[in-house]
Amino acid sequence: MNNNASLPVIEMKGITKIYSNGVIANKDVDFSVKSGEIHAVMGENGAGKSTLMKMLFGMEKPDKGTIFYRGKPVMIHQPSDAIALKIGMVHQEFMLVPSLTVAENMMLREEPVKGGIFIDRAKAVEETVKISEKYHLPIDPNARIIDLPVGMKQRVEILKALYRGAEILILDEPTAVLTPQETEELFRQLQILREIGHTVIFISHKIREVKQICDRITILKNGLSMGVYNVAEITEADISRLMVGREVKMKLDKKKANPGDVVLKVDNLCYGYGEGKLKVNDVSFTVRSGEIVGIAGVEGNGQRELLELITGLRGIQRGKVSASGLDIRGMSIQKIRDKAKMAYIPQDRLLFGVASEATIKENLMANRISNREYSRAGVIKGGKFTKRSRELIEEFRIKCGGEEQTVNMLSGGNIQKVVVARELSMPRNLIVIDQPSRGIDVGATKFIHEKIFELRDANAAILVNSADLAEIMELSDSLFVMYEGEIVAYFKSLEGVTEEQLGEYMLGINRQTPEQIKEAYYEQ
Amino acid sequence: MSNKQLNQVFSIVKTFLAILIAMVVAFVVILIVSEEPLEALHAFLLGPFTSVRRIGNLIENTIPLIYVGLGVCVLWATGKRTLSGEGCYYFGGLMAALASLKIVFLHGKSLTLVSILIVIAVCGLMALLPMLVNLKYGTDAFVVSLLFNYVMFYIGNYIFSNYLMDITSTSSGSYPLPTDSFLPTLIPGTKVTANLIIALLMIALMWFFMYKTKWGYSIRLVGLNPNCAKYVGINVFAVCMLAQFIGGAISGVGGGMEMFGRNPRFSWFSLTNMGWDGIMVATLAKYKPQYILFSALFLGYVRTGADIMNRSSDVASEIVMIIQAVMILFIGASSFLAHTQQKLRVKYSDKVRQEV
Amino acid sequence: MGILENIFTASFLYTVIRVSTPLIFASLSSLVARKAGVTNITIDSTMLMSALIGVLVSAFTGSLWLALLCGMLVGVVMGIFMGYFHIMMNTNMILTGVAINTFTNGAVVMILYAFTGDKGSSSMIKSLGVPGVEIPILKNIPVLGEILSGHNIFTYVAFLLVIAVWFLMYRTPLGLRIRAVGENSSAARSVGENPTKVKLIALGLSGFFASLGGMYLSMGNMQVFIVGMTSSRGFIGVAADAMGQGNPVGAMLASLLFGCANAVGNVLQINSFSTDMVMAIPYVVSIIGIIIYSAREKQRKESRVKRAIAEAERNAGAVAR
Repeated sequence: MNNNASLPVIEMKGITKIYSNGVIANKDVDFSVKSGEIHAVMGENGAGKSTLMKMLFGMEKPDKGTIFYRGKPVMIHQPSDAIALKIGMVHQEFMLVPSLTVAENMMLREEPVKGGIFIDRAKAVEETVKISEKYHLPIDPNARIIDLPVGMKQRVEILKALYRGAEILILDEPTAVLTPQETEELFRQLQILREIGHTVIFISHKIREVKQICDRITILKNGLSMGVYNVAEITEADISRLMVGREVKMKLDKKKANPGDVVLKVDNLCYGYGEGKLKVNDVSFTVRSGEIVGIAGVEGNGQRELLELITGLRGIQRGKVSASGLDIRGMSIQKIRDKAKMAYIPQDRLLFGVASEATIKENLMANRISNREYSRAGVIKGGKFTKRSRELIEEFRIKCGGEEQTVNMLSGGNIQKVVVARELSMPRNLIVIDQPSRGIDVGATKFIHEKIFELRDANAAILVNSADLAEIMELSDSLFVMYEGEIVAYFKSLEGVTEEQLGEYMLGINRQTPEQIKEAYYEQ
Repeated sequence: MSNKQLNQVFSIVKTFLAILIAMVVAFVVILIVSEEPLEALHAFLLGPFTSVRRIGNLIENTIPLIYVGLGVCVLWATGKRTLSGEGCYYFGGLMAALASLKIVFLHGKSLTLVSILIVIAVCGLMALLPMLVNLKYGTDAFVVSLLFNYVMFYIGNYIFSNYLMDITSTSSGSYPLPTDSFLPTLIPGTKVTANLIIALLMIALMWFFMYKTKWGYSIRLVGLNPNCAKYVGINVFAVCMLAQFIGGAISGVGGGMEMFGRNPRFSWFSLTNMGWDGIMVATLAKYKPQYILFSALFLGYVRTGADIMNRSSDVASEIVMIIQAVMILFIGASSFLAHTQQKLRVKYSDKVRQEV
Repeated sequence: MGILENIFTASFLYTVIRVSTPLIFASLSSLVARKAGVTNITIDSTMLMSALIGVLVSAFTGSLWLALLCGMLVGVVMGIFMGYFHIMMNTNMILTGVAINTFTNGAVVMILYAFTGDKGSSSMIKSLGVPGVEIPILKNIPVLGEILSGHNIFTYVAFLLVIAVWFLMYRTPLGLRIRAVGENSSAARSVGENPTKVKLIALGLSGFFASLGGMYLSMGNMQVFIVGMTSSRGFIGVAADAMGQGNPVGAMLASLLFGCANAVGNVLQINSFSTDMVMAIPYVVSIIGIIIYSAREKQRKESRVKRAIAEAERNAGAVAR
């Protein structure tokens, strides 16, 4: 290696990014990459990896901080600035035009022209072949993107960046959508790129993969940098600790669970056919009344899909879900809620949980307008609703200026309380909760946790998913870990289980035996 | 000032500013094109109030606008925008004429009632098609409704020219509509009939429907957040269809009512453009039934004024279209004043922070 | 049968081409806009405005070329104006369309009235027209010559434009960028493209094509401007484009179908049949066409999922055994 290798080719100093909704994506992050290395950026979802890299590529603007290119400060306002600096990015959502061919996508905005106005298609194909041969990334230049498998699409993205002269290639979670074979293939290609002197920035949360091909790692947690490490000098366990470890929070007083009958039964559930890799892969488990079953895992490992299948938001493709003894396949959502007595608190409260321009009262009545108690012959009993809304606002301590206030005026915690109040104030056997405390304050979190225990003690079956390890450990009576759409570990009781231990399962370092995993399914 | 109040204030300011800009544009145009601009302006602004007949005209013009405006409020309430109001208004008029001319065993007000019921059923059902194929196959509801309006028109025109056309009469149109089915006139010397009362009742009814019944509530929830509606178990399909049925039916009734006292014969030889007018009325009313009366009255007023100006001065009545267009453009533009609003929002939130 | 005799004649086919001409322009106008991701519903009014401006400029300056230039310019400006409100001011497409259509329909009458003192047509003033041409060799071929020769220049321009638009869309950098922006604007952005600029260019082109359609009506087909003379042809263009599924040749064929129905309607009218049912056919056909197209897309997606599931079931069965 030459002298350049020790000099950072890219340096980002003191980068801070706050989104308009107040979320702090990055705070005072320093980041540097040396020429000719494969550098991993690791962290959980929401740790700020993608945001940091989007700023490097000009898709987002930092609020504070400076970016240096080979020692010189540069301004990157838009992708074209980054492209000019020989930076290329392969996004998680592919930036390809489906109906165009590979060559057309490759040449977009760099089209070779003949006769002054026409695209030289032969040349475009030729250039595509040339670049693909140069980098040993074979591709059919005339294939339409829409017909290509995911791995090939990604290859087009990589080639697209290389064609634009990229010497620094950012890959945002490239393996998330790939099969193991495709992943191996990608790694081989990345190594070739390194050999010919390119620099690769590899965003991932998979420790195995990073250990396999990367030289150095920058670890982010909650928008902060946790340091830079040489891969050779850090253990998997250390990485795991840096990524997910956190201070111990105050424990709540929790009575021991007293599980009864099986309320939710999930048999061999699979989902994601026709989209490449399965999002949910052969998942079986049960939830009994009077217990809280937790799902741990790094986000994006099929948890959300699993919960949406159980609650009827997605159609079941294969496998079976029964709730309160009813097979929910083909049932309308209203029936699932009312007949199978299932409540659901979704993770994205603004997308699913509330209509933010409607009033608190209107949001609270959403799931009971057909209830005889609240409407007769279709006419809503307004007085009754107002009364009930006030009770719920009181009971769930929603801080607001009255039931006629619109929900978008409330804080995140109070919006969540609106959802919780609506869902948990109806008689339900089964409660499915996705990310109960995301982005809400400590007080609201505590309140919601207490409510969950209260319902468990009243014999409800509860299934909770949370990306927050501390939270899930605090809430769960028993727990399973999801990785790549599968259950990889099950803990009947959390006594003696540590975060580090769970972290290893969550990050795919470890996996239980099929017999141990099978215990998640309680046979009556 | 809270964010909510700020939004409300801006909403109102924006509307009035848009009206103001539109009126200024109109005055400027009048000043340019007219030889005697003051007379023209006088006729335009005050003309509608100078006689009973003219006030009558104003009300006559307002009534159908109320119906089509209400129609669009409901048609668009689920967030999926269709143009079905245009076809339904035309077809409503046609169906009313057809029913009142061809149902021979009924007379008087029972004929009126039955005709309107037929209009409701037919127009409501016809409005379903664009939404049905949108929900089933994901086609563009807007384009399909646009096309379907023409289908409705040609079917209607077929019926008109083959079954209703009075070839013997010198005035082109259908056979004379039976006068015993006409609604009683409220203001003598005008064609303001009891239809006015029905239209006003309809505003109240639609307000009640949208805000006080579970169906209206469901329609609004789907419009506000379809994901949330689906998630709480609302049958989005059924709700979208219901909104189209009701919106189509109201638009149809608007057209049908024109045949019970205002027009002696059915004489629509093309689509009426009332569906598009409905979009304007509804947009001006922020898609809320309770404001429809004001927006319809306003549009009815400028139209009547423009008509009078047209007759009594050298300015063409089409100026009213320019007023409407400018108004809609500025009310519809989300970015109009958005910058100022954002600045104020930041300023107020800073102030609040300081106080805390 | 008198009707059939009337239909299968050279003059009938000539008529089809004649009445299809403005529809072809309108459908191409819709096509470029839709490729950029915008449903342009202002085509009809753009046509009307250009038709008027062309007539007025030709009448008052006596220059045909200046008239054509002004007419085109008005079209381009209207396209960009619409884009400005829709894209830059974030106005909903339908509202922008309603506003611009209303504005134009009003403005057209006011302008006409101001210049001619008439609110219905420009028959008071003498305006110029674009002539028809005989195609040298073609005109001597029997039947074919009768059908294809002797049309207005605009008609030939329309057909040439179909080819030109095809090349523009599928063979030039601009076309590629328009398609990319319409389909996935963030993909275009990621390679440094400015989607707003591309959309405005596409809408300018859309307005340009619409203006040709309008001027054909007032300076080719007839030599007079009549209020409402577009009679919704701009909207039919949107339908033809939807039916042609984004392909210029498809749009042309759909336009010819509409034109054919129109011509059949005329023939039937002469034979004192009701034209209405015939006139409705193209709309019904295009609704059905659009539905079939979307249904097929949907089915294709579903069957892919089904196949994948079936395969998984088979594999699972094999493992179990």
